[in-house]
Amino acid sequence: MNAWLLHHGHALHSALLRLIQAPFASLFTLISLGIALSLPALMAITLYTVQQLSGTLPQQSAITVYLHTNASEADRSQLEKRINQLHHLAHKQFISKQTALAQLSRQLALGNLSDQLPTNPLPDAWVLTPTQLDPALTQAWTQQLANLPMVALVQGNQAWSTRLHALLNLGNQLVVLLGVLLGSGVVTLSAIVTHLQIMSREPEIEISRLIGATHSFISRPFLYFGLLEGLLAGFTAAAIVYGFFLVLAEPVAILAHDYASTFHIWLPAPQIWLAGIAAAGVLGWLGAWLAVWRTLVWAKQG
Amino acid sequence: MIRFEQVNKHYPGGHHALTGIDLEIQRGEMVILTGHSGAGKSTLLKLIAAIERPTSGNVWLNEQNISRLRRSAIPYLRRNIGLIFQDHKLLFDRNALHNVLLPLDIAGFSRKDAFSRARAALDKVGLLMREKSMPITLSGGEQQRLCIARAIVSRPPLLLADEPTGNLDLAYAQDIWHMFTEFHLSGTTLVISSHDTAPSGSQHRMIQLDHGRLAS
Repeated sequence: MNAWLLHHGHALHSALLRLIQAPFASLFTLISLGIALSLPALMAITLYTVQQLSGTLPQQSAITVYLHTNASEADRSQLEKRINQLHHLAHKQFISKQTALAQLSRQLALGNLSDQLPTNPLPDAWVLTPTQLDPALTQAWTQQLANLPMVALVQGNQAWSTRLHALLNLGNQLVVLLGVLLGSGVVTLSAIVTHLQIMSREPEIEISRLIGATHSFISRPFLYFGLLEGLLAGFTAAAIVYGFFLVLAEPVAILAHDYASTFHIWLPAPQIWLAGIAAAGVLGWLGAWLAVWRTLVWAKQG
Repeated sequence: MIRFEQVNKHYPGGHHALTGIDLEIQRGEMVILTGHSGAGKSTLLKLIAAIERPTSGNVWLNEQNISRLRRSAIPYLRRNIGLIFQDHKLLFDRNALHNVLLPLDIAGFSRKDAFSRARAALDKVGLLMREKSMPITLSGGEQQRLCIARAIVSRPPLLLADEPTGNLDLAYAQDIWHMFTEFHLSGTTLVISSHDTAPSGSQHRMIQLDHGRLAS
């Protein structure tokens, strides 16, 4: 085994000992860091679940394209070609004037309306559903299609869609802001804990320097400590989040059942949990690095 | 092995610790620096170990100008020097064995080799039976011997000792001096600052410092 591996093994062992030697302090730090990390995660999952609930939202944001009542078969065909060229089109449905009239008859319970009317007053129509809830997209479709000669009217609930889109955007931005804010808190807390560690080990650091320890040798255990602390805080946060939604799962399922919905709380895939824990490790390491830099490098030069 | 060329060391506030030092110490020599308190003995040792840099002049160690050494190269220089301090500078949260293991951990020795060397060093200073003892339970003389074990464990060619017997009674002091004579006889270069007189029979050179200047 080469010296590099020995040094890293020594540093990791030393960092683990430091965590274990002060179990209560370590536990409280991990809980604090875990809670800080869990808040943006809770909010992100809640938001994603709400977005999932609005899995029907793209349909809600669908637009309806009405043809002129006198539109010919050629017009319908030409419009269909034009519709096929649209980007981000999830679904299209043609509702002929006959189908529309039959539906209206059923809804109004008026018997067969076609027998009672001299001509069918309803137009042929296309219902177009976008792949995503994006008011700009449906706006662009509306502009493209409304100018076509065979199109009488393009109708969509864009005001509603715009409001919902804005709300979801706001939620996303709040998650990002909260993530940045609490992530900075984790970095700061890790830096403070590492700084205290360095202060309490000043004699050891001084002696190590005198007998030939490099800066890397001295700082490595602190960096491992920060990394371990971050990873464990990530695990703690994951446990908090999982526990939180586990408790909520049953009441949500009962509520969804009452509304005849298949709605359930969305939980991230294992790789997302792992990525979150790794990111927490990086934050812990970053805090430790800042403390090491501030205390062992900058302060000595300053 | 060690050469001082017109070395001056002034501290902020105008204190002149060393002035115009020209000195040469050969490999395998045992040099005892004497002088009153504040004569510059410790400063001279600190310059050799690159703990301090001279204000002017050059300090050479093994043909390397250590007064111009890059900061990152200093740890590697110190691994070839055994440092012995008057206040021992031991780690009180580790037992005797783990105190001696520290330089070997720093140098990247394998665990097995490090333990074997550390025990050999403790044996040399007569502390093998106390390898598991915490420093606080050792007497002043034993603490100094532990400090010596840590200094010699990586078998450095140069030992620097700053007032190694300063806090010890006569019997312990003689014990330490006897050890230094043994290291000298085995070919180690020693530079020792001391108020005491070295034991008779040892082949050593005395250098006296007076107010930061060589007096002899």
